[in-house]
Amino acid sequence: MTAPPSSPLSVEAIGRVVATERRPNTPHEFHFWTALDAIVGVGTIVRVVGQLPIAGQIPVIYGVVVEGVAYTDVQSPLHDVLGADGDPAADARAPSTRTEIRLFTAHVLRQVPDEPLQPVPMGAVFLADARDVAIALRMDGYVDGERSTAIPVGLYAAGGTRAPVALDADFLVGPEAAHLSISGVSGLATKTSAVEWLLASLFAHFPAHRGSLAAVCFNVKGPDLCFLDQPAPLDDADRVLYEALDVPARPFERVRYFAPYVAGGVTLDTLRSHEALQHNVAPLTWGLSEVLQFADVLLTRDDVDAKADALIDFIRERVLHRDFEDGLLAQPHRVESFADLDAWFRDVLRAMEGRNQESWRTHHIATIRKVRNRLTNIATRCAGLITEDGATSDLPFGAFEDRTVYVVDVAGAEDDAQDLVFARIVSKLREHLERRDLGVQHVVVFVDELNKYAPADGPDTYVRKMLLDIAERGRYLGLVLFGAQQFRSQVHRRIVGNAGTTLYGRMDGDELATPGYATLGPAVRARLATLEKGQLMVRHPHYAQPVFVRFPRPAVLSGRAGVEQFPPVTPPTLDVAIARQLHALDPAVTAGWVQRVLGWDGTSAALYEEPAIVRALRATVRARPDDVRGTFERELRRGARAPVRDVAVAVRPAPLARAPRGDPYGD
Amino acid sequence: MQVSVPRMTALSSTDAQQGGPGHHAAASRSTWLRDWADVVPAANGTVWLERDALGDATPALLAPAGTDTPWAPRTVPAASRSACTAFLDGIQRSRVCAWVRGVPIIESVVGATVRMRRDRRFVDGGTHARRLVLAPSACVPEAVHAHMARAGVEFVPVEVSAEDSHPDVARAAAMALVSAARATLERQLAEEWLRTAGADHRLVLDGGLGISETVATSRQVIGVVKSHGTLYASGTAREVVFGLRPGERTTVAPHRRGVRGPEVATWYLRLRAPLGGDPLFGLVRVEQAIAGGAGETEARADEWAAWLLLERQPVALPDPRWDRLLYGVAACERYLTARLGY
Repeated sequence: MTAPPSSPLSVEAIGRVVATERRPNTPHEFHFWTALDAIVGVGTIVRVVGQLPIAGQIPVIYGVVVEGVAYTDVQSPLHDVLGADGDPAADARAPSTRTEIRLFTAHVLRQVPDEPLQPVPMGAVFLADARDVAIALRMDGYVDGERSTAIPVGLYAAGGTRAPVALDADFLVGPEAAHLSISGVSGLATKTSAVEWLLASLFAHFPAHRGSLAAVCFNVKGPDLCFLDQPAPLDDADRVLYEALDVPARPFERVRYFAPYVAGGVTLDTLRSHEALQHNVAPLTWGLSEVLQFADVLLTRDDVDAKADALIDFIRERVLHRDFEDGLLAQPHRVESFADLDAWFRDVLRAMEGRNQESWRTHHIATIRKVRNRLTNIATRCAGLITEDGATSDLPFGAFEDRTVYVVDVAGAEDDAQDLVFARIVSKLREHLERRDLGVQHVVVFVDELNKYAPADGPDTYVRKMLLDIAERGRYLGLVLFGAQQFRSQVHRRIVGNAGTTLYGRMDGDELATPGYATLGPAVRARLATLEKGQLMVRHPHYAQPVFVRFPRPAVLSGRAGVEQFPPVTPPTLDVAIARQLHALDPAVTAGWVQRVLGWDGTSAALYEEPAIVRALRATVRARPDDVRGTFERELRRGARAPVRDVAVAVRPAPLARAPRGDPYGD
Repeated sequence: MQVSVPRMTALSSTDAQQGGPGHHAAASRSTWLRDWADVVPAANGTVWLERDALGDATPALLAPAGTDTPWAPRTVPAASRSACTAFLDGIQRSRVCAWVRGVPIIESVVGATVRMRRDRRFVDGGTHARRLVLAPSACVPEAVHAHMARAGVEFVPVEVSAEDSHPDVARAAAMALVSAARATLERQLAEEWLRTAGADHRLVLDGGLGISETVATSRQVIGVVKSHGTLYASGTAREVVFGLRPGERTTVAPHRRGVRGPEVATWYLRLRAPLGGDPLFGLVRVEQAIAGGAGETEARADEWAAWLLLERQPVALPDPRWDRLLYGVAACERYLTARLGY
């Protein structure tokens, strides 16, 4: 991206700077009047050329219009009524119109030269041309040359000028500043569309000399991000914008989807379930150790006191994935799954009750009951995400690819599961980025509904702490947060405060009345409340004042259109579900073959129990083997030898002996 | 009293924009005052002398010429649009800037402008302005003349004795020169306008037409007189004038300003209903060129009157003369005030 040449529009002055004692100019604000038909409005960038040289140089000042007033020579509305004899239509018959003024207030974007910083002088006012826009926004420092770091964010379109506006990658992705915050009311194509557009621009323009870049997007509602690899129909106006901003008008080339299973089922819990779109969809499943590592996410502070914390640590370090023996217990244990863990808990509690023992290895029986209750409950709350056999299907940590979007679709998951997914994935990203072995050097993490995950008030959750950590330290690692929210005022101030770049779409009037918007003038706030689709107000460290830009519709299919074009499949019977998933891996797999292998009688499998079938299917899908059919059959036979129960059923605690009197967790 | 009218140096709009006395009046005034302060004891505060001017308050009567018929009221026929395309007015601002041996030194700015109306909005149709210093020659040292010349200020000698004249006499003499200078600018502008304006253009002049034979005989110009220091009616005629209702005018009568002034036709027009019984409220006297016979003059007066009634809007508030001040004339005054910096 290079700075555009000047346009002829800026040749004639459209206004003159004016200052009075009551309304003086300052180094950061000035006033000017224009002809009544001047194409100037709130958001228009103008250039002031001074009259007297300062240190041998005529000062040039760039400003953005933030307020405008108009008035006539009538001093009182009553005078006008009197003059018109109370007839509102009289004005149209009057041979003269009153003398009228258009007086604008502009905030200074830049003064050239920078020193000495003086009040804006009197002078002629010109509409900014494309080159002026680049200078005014200090883009001239990063849009030109081989080592350009410009990331187009939109097109400045005001005052007859159309000029690309770019962010500085060093201030968007780091290391100078980082993070992006997007605010706007729902349903007006602001937040999701803007992120999709900006990611496309980022992928197209992130400079090679700054390293590689990938994005991890959490789809937390509906089908919003489910069709990033599918093209959307664009009109000519959008194509013009894409061309002007030098971004290819096409969907993302490399997208991978991850989604947990539906609880206890064999299909993935995602609206991207159309057969034609299964080639890049993979299950997201974790085992006990992955979950236990982030048990804190699902346990509130009230639950996890020091004693409970100690027991969880004990289990994590001494029980999990080890041969565990204890003279007290009825049998040796090896805990690999939630079912194993529950069996271990039952053995421990039964032994303590049998001996009327209140503590075991310093852990009180009430604490053991409490932790058992909470941990085994996780499997129920996160059914579909957690595998009972400990098998993991995860994002390709260590093998992330440049310019690839990894979408984690947890829209169908419960809130607890969403929290767990977010916490673990971000933690893993951070670990790998610290070790420099993720596969890419920068990762953009997009989280929608940030006011839900990092609210300004409310409990200090694990997820909120993680988001704060990213916001405050992520840029050093290359971990960049793109957060979206409807109400910026309801997001933790340290998160929005650390966002180097902020985008505003159309804003709710009540939201604009909150103190966070006090720095914006009434006219700017009024414009924010009425922004059209595809318009944004942008704050960026290089811009002294926010600017308004237009961005094109994303070149990817929207969630709503995607669902219409690729309708989700209806929940199939087990045999059909298996056939569909295995067919995606091996086209030779047919429904007939699956029914034959399972001994399908039309409603159920005669040869295997359903949990064993589910386990075999998941193992096959995870492994993605060359011999799909052979692997599935082997997994079926192995499951048949050691049948396991459904996760949700398996971890349900078995009835225990009556709890000791006074045990608050005994019920 | 013998007064000499100084040399008139008219400024065009272009001149003023390029730094003439109109455009940089404030700057040149301060420069000039600094120089003047070197040679005179003290400068007075800013008190506009025009505030005291009352005009000719001597009552006079005028009966319709050639008849014994007094003024008669006529209802003005309605018009759909005003054909007035330009307004002309002048301003003068004077103050005593210094005293030398008991004689006031007057500093004045005079200007006149034509505001052309295009698409219901006013644009500059020509502006002339002058900056003057008026004093007896004996009161102004040679050094000051040089200062004034550099500052673009004209010196106008006032022919009164610097030694034994009453200060008010000297001031009145100076003010007469200032008024004459303003009237000259107005006349020049009006005549220039007549030379350049198309036949379908009409000019409304603030004041009477007697400033020029050319102006007084032009069918494209009327003069609207707001002040009634001289009331051209008495007896029954006076009752007719005072009894005019909004939208009514008197019949036309010939009128001559002074003995040698050009003869024009004049009539009274009630623009607005009298407030609180004030018989002069909303009353203007109009002067127009005599055109052919009496019938034609009356017909033209009807035409002009209809246009003037349309010019009642927008109202010229908050000017205290708003009941008689046309908005176009007020626009001239406002424009000159802004241009001249007074």
